[in-house]
Amino acid sequence: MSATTVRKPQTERVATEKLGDNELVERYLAGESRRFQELVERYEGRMVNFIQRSIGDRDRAEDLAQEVFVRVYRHIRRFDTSKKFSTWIYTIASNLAKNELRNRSRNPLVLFQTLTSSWDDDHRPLQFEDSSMRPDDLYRKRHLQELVEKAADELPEHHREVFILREIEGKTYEEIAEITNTQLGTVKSRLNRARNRFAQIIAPWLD
Amino acid sequence: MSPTPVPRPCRAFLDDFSAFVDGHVSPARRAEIQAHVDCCQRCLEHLTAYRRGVTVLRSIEAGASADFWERLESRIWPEGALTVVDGGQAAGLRVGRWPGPAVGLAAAAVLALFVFVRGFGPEASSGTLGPQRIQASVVMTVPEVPEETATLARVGRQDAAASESRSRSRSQGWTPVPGEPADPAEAMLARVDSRGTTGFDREISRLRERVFEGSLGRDRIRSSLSTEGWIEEDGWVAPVRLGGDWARSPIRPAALVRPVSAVMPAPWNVDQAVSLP
Repeated sequence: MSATTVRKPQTERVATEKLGDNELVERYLAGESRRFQELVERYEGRMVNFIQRSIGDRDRAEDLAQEVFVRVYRHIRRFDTSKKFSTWIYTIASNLAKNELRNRSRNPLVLFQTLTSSWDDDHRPLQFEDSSMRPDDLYRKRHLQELVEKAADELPEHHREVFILREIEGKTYEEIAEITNTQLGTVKSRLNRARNRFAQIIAPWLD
Repeated sequence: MSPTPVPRPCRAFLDDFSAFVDGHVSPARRAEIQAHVDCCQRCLEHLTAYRRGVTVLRSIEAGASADFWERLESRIWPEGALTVVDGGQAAGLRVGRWPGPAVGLAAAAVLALFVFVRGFGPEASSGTLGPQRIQASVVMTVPEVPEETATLARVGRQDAAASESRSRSRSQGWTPVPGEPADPAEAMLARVDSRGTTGFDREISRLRERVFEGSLGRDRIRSSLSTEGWIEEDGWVAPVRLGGDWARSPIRPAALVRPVSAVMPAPWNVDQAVSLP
């Protein structure tokens, strides 16, 4: 008998999108196996973006995001459904990103992907981004995006983490403290420093 | 584009910057800061740069690749893992699979026992059948197997070795007898002798005489199974539900689902073992 992947019907997807994360987890644990796929679809983009912003490597971020979900799958029975699923999954992602950065600092090799991604960016055809924009506007937009990403990358690791969790992922201070395993005061302090530093880095480049 | 030097904002403004942005300052302090920003060019530029930068940063969304789920699926449930259909519940066909950790756990357990005995036993090189080797035989093969199980086990092994055995048969010039398994070894076991017993039966009888309660005893195996997500039920050892709707199925039980007696020696085994030299 061959393995067959069955995608859930679109009509069902619309009906289940209102379910909370924890409810999806509970239903999955109760035997509705496809709820796991819904969880993945709900978080895959956020995980890839979060990890990419944390480590600055798109391809590696995708791999680590996969690893996040593998770990979620393996340990989902241990998840305390009285707590927020998003906090749990971001904690896993945060730890993996930290490990990645730690490993890189021990093995300071220049990743080939890093080199090639820069090359790809430089040679990306502008007309495919937004046909409604003029080339010079597109150039300015892309240039600004690069500067902003670079500014975020320049932040110290523990500052960048809280900055991304707050500004991009919209986490509360309490959630950030739980995800990063730090005190609330530390989160506030780091966030203030990160925001000020980010503004100081980016300000000279803005008109 | 070259950067334009920007003078540093006021210290007091920087101290409360994050709280101000998040609205975590008192109304009075907020009004005070806002009044300052309205008249301080440096602090206004700082606040503007921050807001514009964050807006741009939020607009950069790479997202996951289109085949993210498919790749994840292949990692969690590798190709070749046992697939069990749950009877087509809900809308359409529903497919469950062997949980990856359970597959790995079972494979590791069997391999560890096999290596422990075959590789490190004191009689490993001498060729004699020592107590530890007997213990491994109990796990790797099937003593006291119900007829239903024996049949299913043969079918499962036969399925797994079908393609290989066909090519081997061709290369060795062996021609399977119609009605017998394609694998020569399986055919040998299934062949009935003049006394009406099969080779499979004889193997079981031989093992029954040699069963030994080794260092990895029944209770230890049982507790290990229960803590690692396996259950003993209806005479079978099977993975428990690891979060999915996987259900035990008789479709292909030979690979990992084993009769309890195959994993945990029955009391008669112990009795016989103590009488062994």
